[in-house]
Parts: sequence; C-alpha cells; structure tokens
Amino acid sequence: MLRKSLSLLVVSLILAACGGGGGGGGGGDATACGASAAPSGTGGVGSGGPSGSFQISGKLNVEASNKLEAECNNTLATAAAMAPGDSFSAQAISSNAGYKGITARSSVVVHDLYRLTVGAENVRVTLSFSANNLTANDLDLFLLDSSGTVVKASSEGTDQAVETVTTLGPGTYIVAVRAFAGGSVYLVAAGTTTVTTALDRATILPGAEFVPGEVFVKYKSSQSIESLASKHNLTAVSDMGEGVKLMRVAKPTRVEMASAVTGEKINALGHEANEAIGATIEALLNLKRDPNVIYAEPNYIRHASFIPTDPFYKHQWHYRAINLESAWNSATGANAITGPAIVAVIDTGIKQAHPEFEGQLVRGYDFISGITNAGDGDGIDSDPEDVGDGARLGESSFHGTHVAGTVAAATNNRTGVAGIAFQGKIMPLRVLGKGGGTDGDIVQAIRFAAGLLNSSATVPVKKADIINMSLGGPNPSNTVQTAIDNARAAGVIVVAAAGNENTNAPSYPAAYVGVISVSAVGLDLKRAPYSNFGTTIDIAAPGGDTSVDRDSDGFADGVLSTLFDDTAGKFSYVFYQGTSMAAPHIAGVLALMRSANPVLTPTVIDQLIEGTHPTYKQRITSDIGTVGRDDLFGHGLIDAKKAVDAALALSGPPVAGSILAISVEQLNFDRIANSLQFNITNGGNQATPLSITSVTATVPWIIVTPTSGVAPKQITVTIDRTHPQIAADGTYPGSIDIVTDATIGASVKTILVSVVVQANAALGDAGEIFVLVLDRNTGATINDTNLPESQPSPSNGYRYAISGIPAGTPTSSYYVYAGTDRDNDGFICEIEDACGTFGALVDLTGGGPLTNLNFSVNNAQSPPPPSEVVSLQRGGLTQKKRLKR
Amino acid sequence: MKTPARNIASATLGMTAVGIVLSACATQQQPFEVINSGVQTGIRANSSQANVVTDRFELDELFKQITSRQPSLSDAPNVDFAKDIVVYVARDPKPSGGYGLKVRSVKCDGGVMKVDLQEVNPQGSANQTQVTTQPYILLTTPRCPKLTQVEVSGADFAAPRPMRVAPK
Repeated sequence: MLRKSLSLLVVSLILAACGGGGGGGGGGDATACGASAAPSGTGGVGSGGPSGSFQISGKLNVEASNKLEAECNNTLATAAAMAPGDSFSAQAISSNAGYKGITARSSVVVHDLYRLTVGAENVRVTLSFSANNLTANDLDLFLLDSSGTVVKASSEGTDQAVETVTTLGPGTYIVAVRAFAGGSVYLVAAGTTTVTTALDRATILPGAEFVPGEVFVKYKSSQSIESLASKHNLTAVSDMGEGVKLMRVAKPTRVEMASAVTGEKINALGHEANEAIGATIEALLNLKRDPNVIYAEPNYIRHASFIPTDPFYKHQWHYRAINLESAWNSATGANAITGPAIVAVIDTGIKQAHPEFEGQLVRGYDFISGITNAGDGDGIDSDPEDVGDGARLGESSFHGTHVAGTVAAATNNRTGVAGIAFQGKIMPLRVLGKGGGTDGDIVQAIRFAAGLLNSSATVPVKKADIINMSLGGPNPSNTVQTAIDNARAAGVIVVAAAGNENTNAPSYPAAYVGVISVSAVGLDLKRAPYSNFGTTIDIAAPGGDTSVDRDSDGFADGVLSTLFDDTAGKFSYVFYQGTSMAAPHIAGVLALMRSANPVLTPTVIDQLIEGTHPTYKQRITSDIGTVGRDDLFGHGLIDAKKAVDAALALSGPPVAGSILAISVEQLNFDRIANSLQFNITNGGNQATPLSITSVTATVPWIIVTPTSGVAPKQITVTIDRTHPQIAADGTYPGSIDIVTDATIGASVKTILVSVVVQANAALGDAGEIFVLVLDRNTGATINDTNLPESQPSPSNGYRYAISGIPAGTPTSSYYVYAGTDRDNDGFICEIEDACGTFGALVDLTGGGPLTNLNFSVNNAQSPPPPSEVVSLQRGGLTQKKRLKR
Repeated sequence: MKTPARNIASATLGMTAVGIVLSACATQQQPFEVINSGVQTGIRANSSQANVVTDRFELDELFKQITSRQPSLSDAPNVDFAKDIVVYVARDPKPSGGYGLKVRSVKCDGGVMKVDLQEVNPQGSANQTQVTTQPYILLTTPRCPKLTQVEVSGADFAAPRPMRVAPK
C-alpha cells in the first residue's frame, strides 16, 4: 500500500576524521596529414616470465580490403580507388589554412578524395573519425559525381563521430572528406546496401516524409533574414511567427557534363529528386552550425494519426522516434477477444496510486525475500508497492514506476504522459530493493509472470504476455536461464536492458539465450553514449541522452515517464536515461503486437526481429548503423508501425502444427574463421514439437554438432582445414541438410556453406597493432605486445607471441584482444581503429604454450567494433594505453 | 524552460580559487540538514560537482537546474541565509542504480568549513536497475565564524575541492 511520505529533514551530527587524495591523467592529439600518427611505444614480446607461466601465439588476419592511405589525395585525378567492401584508414586531415584542399563545383572545399564505382546495388559510405574532441575536430563526408559536383552530403549532427552517405545508383562517384574544423585521423568504408531510397536521414526521424527543398528556420533576433538567406542560399517563403521562417533551399545547379575522370555520367533513377533532398539535408547541416540559428528542421509531411491529449506528450520524442503514432492507428494494447496484453514489469515495484496507473494494473507481487532489502517490514508479500530502494527520503529511484509508465501509462487522459500499450495492463513484480536484487527473487518473479509454480504459492489469473527486466548484473546463472527457458516455453516473451557500461561485456539477464537484449539510442538515433553493445544485442530503442537537448524543447533528451517524489510526497514525472528506458519501449511495442495477434510466439517474435520468418520477410525494425545486424543496434531500431503491421499480417487462423525455421540461409567462413553457429527453431505452434531428425554435412570437411534433437537447438559448424579436400587455395562450397518432422511448409532445408582457403592471401594493412592478454575476472592486462606496421607481408602477416602469462587458478582464463591506436591517444579499438578479439576464453590451467590463437582484426564499417572495455595496462611497454569506459 | 541559470553551478565553480588549507583535527563539528537529495541531479556534468550557495536567488537558480529533469516546477527548500549556507555536492555519473552519497561530517576549521562525504556503492554482484544515476545532496549548515572557504572531500572527490565564500 502507498505510504505517504513526509518531508523530513535529516539532522545529523557525526564525528569524522580528516582526509584527502590525489590523481592525474594524460592524452594525445591527432597529427596533420603527412605527419606521423604512429604511437611511440617501443616494446615487444615479453621475454620470459615467472615460473609456471606460459606463452600464447597466433596470427592476426587483416583482410585485403583494409587499406592504409599514406597521404591525402586531393585531386580528382589522384583520388584513391575504392571498391564496395573496402575500408581506408587515413592519415589526419586538417582544416588549417596551410592545408590545401580542392574546391568542388558546389564551392565546398574538400580535403581527401576516393573514387568509387558502384553497380546495381547502392553503397553506403561511412566516415568514422576520432571521437576525442568532436567540437574541435569535425569532419564531413560528401558524395560528388564524377565531375566534382556535390550531389549529397552526410546529414549527421555536428557532434557526431560518424557520417554516412549512400550512393544514388550505378556510376562513378567521388567520395570526399572535408575537415570542417580541426583535424583527425579517420576511417572511410564502403559497404554494400540494399537501401534504395538513397537517403541518409540520421537527423530526421525514421520513415518521416518531408518536403524536399523546404526548411523551417528559427534565427536570433540580432540576425537579419536577408543576410541569413544570402549566407545559406535560401529564399524566405513565409513567416511562421515567433522568429520562425519557412525557407526554400536553392535548387542545386546540375552540371550535365562528361566526367573529367571517366567520361561517364551519373545514371541514377530519381537523381534530380535525390539532389533536392540532398540539398535540403546539406542546408540543414549548415544551418545547424550557424551560431545565429536557434534551430533548423525539415518541413515534415504529417498524416492523420492518433495524437494523445496528455500535456507532456510533446516531450516524449522517444515515441515519435519509433513511429508509434502510426502504430496506434492499428493497435493500442487490447484485443477484442483475448483482452489486454499484459506486461510483467520485474523491477523495484510500482507506486500503484499514481494517477497514470489508474485502471492500468493487474495483480502483482513483491518477491523480495530479504527483509532488510525489502524495506517494507517483511519478506515476500502480495503488495508490489515500491517503498523505495534508497536509504533515505529523496534517494530512491522509483525506477519500476518509470519503466511501467513507458509500457502502459494511462493515455489520452489530459494528464501527464502517454504510455505505449495504454490499453494493455502492467503486472508489477517487485524484486529490487535497497541494494538491488537477487537472482533467486528474479526467478520467482519470472515464474509467477509465466503462470508457473513459484514461492508465492499463487499464479496470476492470466499469465503475462511479455516480461520486461530493466535490470542487470555481470554474472550469468543457470537457474535464471532455466527460468527464462521455462517462461518462453510457456509462450512469454522476455525483454531485458543491455546495460549502461558502454562495453560489450555481457550483462545478465539481457545476455541469456532467449532474451531480447535492448541497446539504447538518443534522439539523433545514434547509440547512446552509455549503451552497451556487442554480439548479444538484438534490437535498439530510445533510452535517451540527458547530456543534450537536440529538440530544443527546454529539457534534456531523456525518456519522460512517471515517477514519485517521496520528499514532497507527490506523484511526478521525470526524464531518465538508460537501457532501462529502452527495454520498455520494446516491451510496449510487443504488447501492441500481442494485442493485434495474441498467438505470436517468442520464436515468431525472434524471427520478425531477425528477418527470418518463413513467410513474412520484412523486419520490424529500421536498419540503422551497418547494413543488416550489427553490434550497436542489433537488427535495428524498433519500428512500432512495422511491428504491428507484421502482427496483423500474421493474424490468420492459429497455426496448428510445427514449422521449420532456421536463423541463417548461408554460412560464410573467411580464410581464418573455423567455427560458426546457427539456430533451428519451431516457427509454428509450440504445442506441436519440432523434432530434428538429422543435421548432416554434405562434405567431409564440415563438422556439425549436435546432429539431431528437438527445436530450439543451436548447431555449431566447424571447418576441418586440415582435410585434404580443401588443401589448395580456393573457395569451397558445401552445404548442411536439415531434416525435421515439420508439419507445415518444408520439413527439409539446406544451408549453404562457403569456405575460403588462402594459405598466402594478399593481406590488408591496418598499421601498427597492439595485442593484449586480459584477465577474465578483473579485466587487468596480464601482458601485451605491439606488432609494427612493417610486419604484414604475404609470408608472415601479423604474427604475435606473448609470454609470461600465469596458468592461474581453476577459475582463471583470459581474453585476447588486438587493435590499433591511430590517433595515438592511448586508447585502442576506438571508432577510427581496427579491432578484433579471439572468440573464446583462453584457458592455461592445463598448461601451455597455446598456439594458433588466430583471429581477424579489421576496420569496422560501423563503429565501434566489438571490444572489451577494460583498462589496458601495457606490461612490457613504457607507454600505457587503455580502452575507453 | 532552458535558462542561463542552468549554468550557474559551473560558473560559480569557475570562480573558486584553489587553495591549500592546513587543517587540524581538533575542529568544531557542525550540525547539518540534508534538505534535498536524489539519485539523479539535473545538472549536466561528466564529473562530480560541488557548489556553495549563500543567498536565496542562487539557491532558486541552482534548484531549477537540479530539478530540470522534471517538467513540473518545484520550489527550492526554505533556508535562513542569515545564519546558514547551502552546500550542493554530486557524484560522478554512474551506469546503474545502487549508488548513493552520505555526509560523514561537517566541521569548522578556522574560516574553512570542511564537508566530508561517504560514497555508497552497489553491493557485490546484485542485480541493479539499468538507469544511469548521478546521486546528489543539498545540505544546509550554520555558517562557520569568519567563513572564507568551503572544502568538500570524500566520495568521488579524489582531492579536497575548495570553494571560496564571500564574507558576510
């Protein structure tokens, strides 16, 4: 029950001792083009080690597509040739007056050029540069036609370390990098994309339509509209009041001429329309940099949608970012037959009397078993009221109240905020109290939500459709994994926050198998600076970034939701940020989907996220970051409209049988990879088990395990590179046949396998690479080495050997990481760096040395690459580098 | 709602002088009251913060910033600035819940007021909320005689942070 809080002032008189401390730091700067940017470390392989220590060694594969540019190419004739799939790490360019650029036909001075020829498929070009000081060092990316006319400009904000443009169709382009301010080393990469809109709208809401050539500009009163228009080549169209003008962007002058370089013309369908869009984006980019401009935004085209009356809805940018208004036209959280979708919020409990929860709750439970931790005077009980997780008044987060508000706050009630699935219900389950919560309590809450026997000796009238866990910790638990498996088997979808440590270290429960792991983006749809990333990320959603106010609404760009102020004893609202806030966006959208189609299974949801559904191929996300799945956003940013559309499309009669679903169609082993995995799942009704009769490789050098079982099943595929059939260099095709007893659709499917064997492959050049051995438990660097730039050659590649690694205790093991430090700032594996890691833990308790710890180190086409965020203490070297936290 | 007043904390900090103060442990203990605290200050900063407030106007402006993550306005607590001053301290930003801040002691050492803080960190490997936090405390305490400086130490303040106080 609600405990009315009093505004008590704590008065203390404490004896104390005197104290003090000290600290320090350091860093480095990028160098200008042509100057050396190499780190100055001089170390090498550690020589020997204590008794009982061992050596590890291996080879680093740097693909030939990784290229090192020695100097800037600043004429059309000398532009470096770039092919789709290539990435260039380049020396620093600078905006200094002494640095000479060339003037493109659109009067844009650019500093480094690449010539890119593309075919039928468009190519997304990504520029990543040193993120150490984004204000002082700001680079831009332009796409020129082969005559030097700017046809597109990157549209990212001024403080972004990543810029992208997408080609406009087949032809030859010049990719140009400009140092707008300062200078930086950088990485420019060309990746194939199936994007056909030829539009990069990172600062524009996904899926939004706007009028090409029109922008709204609010400018400072000290600025005359005439000078502003002249400066940015705009024409004032109409006055919108309050200092806002609707302005028209001048149409870019097209020069229809043969290319000076190739004699070709750009041949792109819709090229002229794209030019207008590109000019609009370029104008917005320039306006946002103008100190006399308060804001500039496109003239969005709106369609009739449900717009809630809640007064703070205007600050909930995070709903518009996931296309929620369009989704609300089709689903709001309740199904006419099955009733409201239920989301179990496993959290700190909830302030049940908050006006935004009136009529929004179903019966919950307090599963905190520790009396001290619970703070409500007992162990588990039937009241999930959040009595606070802080030591005193004012120190509690009321986190569960915030999360629950995002899921399903009362909406369109002229009060406060809106919730996503506002006709759904919240099942508040309390597991986090003072000091956090235990796995044991979480397991009981999961079981309750799924309608399974649990410590409360009760089960809900109706089990939850979705479980949201905006909580986490670093250690996995078999017991929790089992609870999640059981919940999924009961048809419950499990969602969790990926964590806020800005690392790829797994956080649990998000990293458990069967959990949808959610990373966070800000209003700019870039990864939020705190959000975890890595191979376990499934999907992204708005988590907010309270360090900025990009929409100029007067508030930091956090996620706005319900709260309680225990010092004032009143219900309130607040902007929080975190993957905690991102996860309930996914849970809420899933509730919309369940209300549109109550028979959607966890497996089908996985398939819709991954794009592997056997009959519905469209993903329910907007693809941001690298094309396809990437480690920052998983399969992309949730799109509520696409999600509800998918649910409705699949809402035919319930499937009566089992369907064979496979997570991949093809496995590609590059010249170094030896092991990959895929999943076999039942895409149909879980009541009909899917038996896997056999998983069989068609060639003897492919080894699969296990070879049979019951879905879901993860299959590991290993390549035997010693087999004589694949001894010679070449690309070898193979396949894996999967036979099941699926009752609907194909019961047999084949996965194609491709293996590259290249004993003396042409190697790429990533420059100097640092290799580290890190303690698994502490993250401390045990030893390290550096591999100079001169190492790579067809004969030896990058080879490393690190000695002096202790065998350690039975629980000891190590990670091995390698990466560059191109801006010499003491950090490896940053946005502009190449990076890689040996895929498995290295265990030396059985002795050593261990050899052939081979892995790939490559430039990423979307930063940052997978990297462990740990302190890098370079044992044998005088220079100390770190990976950023 | 964004106002220049949001920058007052950093501006005030910018005016502080760094001094070295000799201290003795035989000092006068001060009573203090925590008049406001929370897990998330609204003042945007990437590191720990400290500020001294000596009049109502400054407190109102500071409180607007602290509560700037709430769309509804809140009034600053009442303080008798004829007798008391207010000290604001915040920790470094943290990646999860479970972090807090306590005041260990407030003491007068000549004209220097010393505020000693104690950090509260998550326990072991317990599961925590995945919201970023930046705990803060706003405390009031009687002015030390001939107060010229407030010095904050402990918690995330690696070194004592001195702040100059205008004489009454």
